[in-house]
Amino acid sequence: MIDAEHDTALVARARLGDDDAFRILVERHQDAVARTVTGMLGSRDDADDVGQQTFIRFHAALDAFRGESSLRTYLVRIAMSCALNALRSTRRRELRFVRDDAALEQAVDPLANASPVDDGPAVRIRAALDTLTPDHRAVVVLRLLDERSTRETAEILQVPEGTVLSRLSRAVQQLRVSLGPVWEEFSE
Amino acid sequence: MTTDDMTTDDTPTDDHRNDDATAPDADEAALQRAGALLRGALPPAAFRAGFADRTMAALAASRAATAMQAAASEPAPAVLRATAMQHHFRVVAAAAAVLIVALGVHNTVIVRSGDASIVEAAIGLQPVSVQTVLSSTTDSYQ
Repeated sequence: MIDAEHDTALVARARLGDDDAFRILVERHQDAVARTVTGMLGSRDDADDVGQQTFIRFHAALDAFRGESSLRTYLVRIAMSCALNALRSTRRRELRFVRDDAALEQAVDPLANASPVDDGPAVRIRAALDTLTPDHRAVVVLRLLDERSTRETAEILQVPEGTVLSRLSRAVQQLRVSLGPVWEEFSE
Repeated sequence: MTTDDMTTDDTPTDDHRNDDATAPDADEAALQRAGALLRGALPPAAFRAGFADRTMAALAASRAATAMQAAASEPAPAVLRATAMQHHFRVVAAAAAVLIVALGVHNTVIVRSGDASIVEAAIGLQPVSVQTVLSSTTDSYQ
């Protein structure tokens, strides 16, 4: 509650052009934004850029923030939107420039490059996450990695709760298939 | 959440009615296991050190770009340089300025002259109206 009050006061100061106040908001919420962005994109070079873009978009929309949801939830919603845009534009670029069949196969199936023997679980899991569609990945990131409730996840993604649950079910099924023994090991 | 609610969803990339018709809700225990697996295996999420500094710098750059864009969207002043021109050239330049303003191509006309007869009479690098240019042109001509 104290955080929320502080956020409200800081947002009010930032609206008046106080950059110090805005900087405090960045420092306070950057970890939540990082969880969303790196969950969606991995530790790619552009994760940092997408994080910055999130806060710049938030700054441009300061007047639109009415405090109906928590600032963290609001920021995560912007971060998710930015990350989805980055994923979709990357996907379009990859498919535009990929020419030979092998490269196309890898662009479509990131697991083709991850060896179950040589790579650690983190690499395998990251690769498995990358096989999910952006919409399914978004649900996994919010609901499982970020431990948000189904309701919060639905609110952030602006879809019905039933959609969150069905996407989650499909995503988990796909992860189970992709990860095979790694999944079984952790499930025991 | 009702089926009616889902059919009103406008997310373009997913058919929610189809989702709910064919996919069972995720089992909570399986979700717990999946979450633990993912959180345990993936490294903690964080941006590189200095993220706040980079963000504030990017914000400043974004503001500068916005300001430049706003400035570029305004009509640029027409600058007619008449330095060291002969008298009749200055008259031609002033007449061109009048024409530009009259046609509404630019909202500002700045006329410079080497001997400053038009500048002093008219504008001195300030925005100038049609009347001012006409007046200074008349003075200069006399």
